[in-house]
Amino acid sequence: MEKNYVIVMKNICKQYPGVLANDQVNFNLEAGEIHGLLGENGAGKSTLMNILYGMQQPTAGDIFINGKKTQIDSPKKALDCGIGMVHQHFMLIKNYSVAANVMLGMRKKLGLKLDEQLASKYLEDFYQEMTHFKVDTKVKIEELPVGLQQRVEIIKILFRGAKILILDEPTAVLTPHETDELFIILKKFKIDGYSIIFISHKLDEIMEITDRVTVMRAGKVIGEVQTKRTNKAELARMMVGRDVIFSLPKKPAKIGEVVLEVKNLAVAVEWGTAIKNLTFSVSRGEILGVAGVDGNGQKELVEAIVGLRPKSAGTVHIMQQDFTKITPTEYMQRCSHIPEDRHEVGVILDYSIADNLILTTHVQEPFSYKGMLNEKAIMKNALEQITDYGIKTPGPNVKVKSLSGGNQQKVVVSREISKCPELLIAVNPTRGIDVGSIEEIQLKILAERDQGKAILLVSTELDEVLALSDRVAVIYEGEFMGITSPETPRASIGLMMAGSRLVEE
Amino acid sequence: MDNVFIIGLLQATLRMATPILLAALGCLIAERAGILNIGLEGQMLCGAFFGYLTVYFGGSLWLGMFAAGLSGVLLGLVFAYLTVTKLNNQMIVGAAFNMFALGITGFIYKAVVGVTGTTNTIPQFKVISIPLLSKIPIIGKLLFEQNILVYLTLLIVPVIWFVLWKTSYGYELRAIGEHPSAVDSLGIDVIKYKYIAVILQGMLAAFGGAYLTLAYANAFVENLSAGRGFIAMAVVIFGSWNPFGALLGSLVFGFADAFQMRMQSIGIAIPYHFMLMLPYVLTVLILAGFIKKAKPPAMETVPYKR
Amino acid sequence: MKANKGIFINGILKPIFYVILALLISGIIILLTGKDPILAMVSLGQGAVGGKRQLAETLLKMVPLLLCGLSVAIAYRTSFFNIGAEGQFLMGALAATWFAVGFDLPAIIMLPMTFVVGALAGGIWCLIVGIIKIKTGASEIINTIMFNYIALRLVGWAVNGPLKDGYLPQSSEVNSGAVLPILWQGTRLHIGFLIALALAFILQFILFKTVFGYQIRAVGLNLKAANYAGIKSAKRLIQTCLISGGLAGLAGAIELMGVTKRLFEIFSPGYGYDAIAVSLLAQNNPAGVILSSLLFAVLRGGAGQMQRNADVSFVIIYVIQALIIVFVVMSSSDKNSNSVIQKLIQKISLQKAEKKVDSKGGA
Repeated sequence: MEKNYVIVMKNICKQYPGVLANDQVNFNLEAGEIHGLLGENGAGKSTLMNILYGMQQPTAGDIFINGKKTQIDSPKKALDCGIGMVHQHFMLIKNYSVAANVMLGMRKKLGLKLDEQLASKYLEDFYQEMTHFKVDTKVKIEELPVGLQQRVEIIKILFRGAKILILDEPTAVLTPHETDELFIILKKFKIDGYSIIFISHKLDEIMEITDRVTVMRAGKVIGEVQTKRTNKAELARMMVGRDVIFSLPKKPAKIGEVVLEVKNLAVAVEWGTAIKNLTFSVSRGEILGVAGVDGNGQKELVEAIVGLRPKSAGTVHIMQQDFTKITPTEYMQRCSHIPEDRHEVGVILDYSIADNLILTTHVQEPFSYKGMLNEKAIMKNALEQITDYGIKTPGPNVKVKSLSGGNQQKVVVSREISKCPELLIAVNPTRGIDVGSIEEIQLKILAERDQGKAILLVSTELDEVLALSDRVAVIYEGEFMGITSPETPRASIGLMMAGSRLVEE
Repeated sequence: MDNVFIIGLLQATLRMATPILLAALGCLIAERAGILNIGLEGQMLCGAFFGYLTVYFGGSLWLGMFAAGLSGVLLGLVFAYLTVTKLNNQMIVGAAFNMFALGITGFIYKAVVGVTGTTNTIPQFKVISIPLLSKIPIIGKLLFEQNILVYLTLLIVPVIWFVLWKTSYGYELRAIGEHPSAVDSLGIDVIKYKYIAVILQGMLAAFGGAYLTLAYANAFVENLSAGRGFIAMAVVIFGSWNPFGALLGSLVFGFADAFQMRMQSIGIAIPYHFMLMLPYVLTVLILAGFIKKAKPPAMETVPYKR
Repeated sequence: MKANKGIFINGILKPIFYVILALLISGIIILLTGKDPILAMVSLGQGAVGGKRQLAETLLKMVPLLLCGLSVAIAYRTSFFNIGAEGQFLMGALAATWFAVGFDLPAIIMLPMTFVVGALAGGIWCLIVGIIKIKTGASEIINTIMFNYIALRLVGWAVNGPLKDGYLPQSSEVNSGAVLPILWQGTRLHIGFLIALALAFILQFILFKTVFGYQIRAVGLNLKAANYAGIKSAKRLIQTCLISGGLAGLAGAIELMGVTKRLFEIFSPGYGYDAIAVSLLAQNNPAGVILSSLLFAVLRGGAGQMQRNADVSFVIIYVIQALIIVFVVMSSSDKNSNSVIQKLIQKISLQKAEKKVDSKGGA
């Protein structure tokens, strides 16, 4: 029997200067299915979907919608064809109301006049025919939690009559509970006849929610399988191109003296209190992992410890010395910090690799002496690090912006680890890089722990925290819901991430 | 004397505020679309010059306004090409535009009008007293005894406000200044909006400049605008990116300007040069003091690329 | 070898090309107003380098352009767009006048002291804007321009008031101890020329070979990363403001001590504004500023003769400068998006992709 394909993408190629992002990709979507699109960062998933949504034009290839060859030259065209996309980074105007966001760009349908009142009325009317969920029409986006912002995105495309939904990494910003809720909604949509493309690099989610999976690697489609007939290991192999170790080789921890001791720390920010009365310590030879959904105070916690942000109360001791009033300059001279955002913070894109490798150590000997830079030492250091960490580059004088994400991150990690301090703070050390680099970096961090460093690992990837840490602290709205063992069931950690306290037994 | 003095002062305030207000309104529209054009100053200067030149060669005052507007539109178009299409740094391009305007106006003025002993004056827009309304005490003289450009400028303030806050065009334009890719993802042509905003900005700034020659100074001198474009930018900040706020802000500057001139003419002991400094000092103070009051559009000066 | 070639093309050939292009366009503008562009360009050249006197005068004009160009360049490296060199130049001259008219000491004391006073005044003038930027986030671009106007009025007030000498609105002459020695006998070229050259090389060294230079470039390229790395960015920005304003202020003092000897109302013909184009053309490299300031000095040096011989107003050089700036920024943006070479690569790989599709389609 002929299958009912709503979308067929044939031999799609997309050439960027120097990169072939999509190489003869074939992709199809059946009516009423949830179709997973699986691949690592940089595998070409987003490029393919941007082409389908009209944000990018393919260099070659055809798109058929409901069997008709269609050229999608703009998002408008895609929307007209009934295709809507929920982007990974929300496309919402923060200081507009929910209703105004939904009504934005609907001039043809709604007419010229528009204000908050009118927009709100239109949306209320729409809610009459929409049964799945509702969001208060008059609230401003910036006042909504992330989960609800995502719903606004979905309402936005439903209002435009989309029957095909593209969801780009929709769970990346959600708590496990919010993810469950989203999945319930998606299943309802499926019953109502919507077709859904679900983009992810998380195997568990793909296994749970999809009917079929297309796996991409390095711009190519590696295969297309029925979810029922496959398993995690096979999908991982297709995605990465080799067998993947699901558990890291972890020796038992040899815990030594306390290195970092934080007592009753509080951090006030513009909008309130980001960190409320946190107390914890990290000792030699252990990794304390901090898990939690993005935006629950992780950033403020780290910035306060390293001196980039003032503390409103509490004390910080490093090696028994009072460092409550530490400046970033002092911190960097004795400790390490792998920052959250490598592009914005971790590297200077326009500096060479060699110069970036001394970013936090350039005031120390041998890199400089009495204010003069020592180019020989800088170059020697660069060559060593490039070999030690396998940074793929033509040479040390290449600008960091020309490196891939994984190699940029290796520059940051190698710089911070090779400083050899007692304390390492690592924030999302493997976000947005390829599996190969992830493994290398995680193994390096474990090796540092075994050598007796104290490591504070802050990550929004729960899997990473559980795999690396010796103890896991779950942060929610600036407080620890509890500090527990990494063997704790995921469900209870999920509950803690959503704000329920650890129940002591 | 006091009453006459105060009414005169307030009348002059509105008169001096008008060119700044025109430029500020243009600047506001562009900033709402995420573009800060410091070439505003140069656009004013060009508007002043080409308005003047047209009238100097026998064109009517309205033709002068048209020519000025056209020069602003052209400059806006080139600025949009360089910054919106070619994604160049808005600040540097704006600075180059100011330099270009200073050179080209001064050059053509000397080449075409020449430097003779006599000043080359031109006719001007006349004050129109609106019947009845102008008879209202104080307010009448203040509001209804002005030239036509003042009236028109005051009229477009609510128009711009209405378009920005009560129509879908306005919602889309303001959204572009906050999150251009969000607007793009909804199928709206972001680039087109940016072009239109920059062109409108150029036109309004040039009208503001033309006001200086066609309704205020009746002659042209090199660098006639004398920083009013920059002052207009400060006015936008002062007014929290709102047209009515900009009106208020330009009145403050108009007052400073008018006050400075009155003080000179009465011969008050404060040195003349310090009075001339007043608007500039005020701009610095406003920039330093009020900048935290409201937030500029989030993606201002950031070029948009898909 | 390869790197040197790149520097040669990007650093020398390209700028020369932009200058020629800008001159060509300006020539067309001159032609449109019915004047003779060839005569204009020839008299521009003659006026600038046509003889010993002309050459010396051009080099004399190069001194303030070089120093102000360095001022803009160093500030730009910290992402501080200093359009205020003009005002800092004026403040430097004003303070130097106050000192050199008021004090009469031997040259050995007067010369360095007047330099310091001028540099300090310019430095503080820039520093105020820097502090406002750090404390309130107010744009330095508008503020430096405002400070230019304020400085202009201050000079106007000073030469009509406290510093006024006689009937004309100008100061009295500086004391002989503060007059700069002549470098080239028979011309007005003074030793300020050597000072400016030396400062260009010193700055080049500081920027690329010292920790301080590493840090201010880091602050300019990525402020967040600099803060994270423990660089005291606010302090560096303030120091750079002082240096930047100081250089422009020193230029004002040197102009006074070497050329005008007195202060008057229109003291600067716009050197501070020219400096923006000077610095951008040199891609904010101090050593490159030497060449670009020479070029602009030639433009300014010949402009007078051009005005006399070809009846072309000297303000046309602003048009030339503006065009040069636009070309420079255009070329740097093209480097990022679609240079000729990148387009070529794209085309080739595209054809490959198409071929692949064809072969598959056929099979």
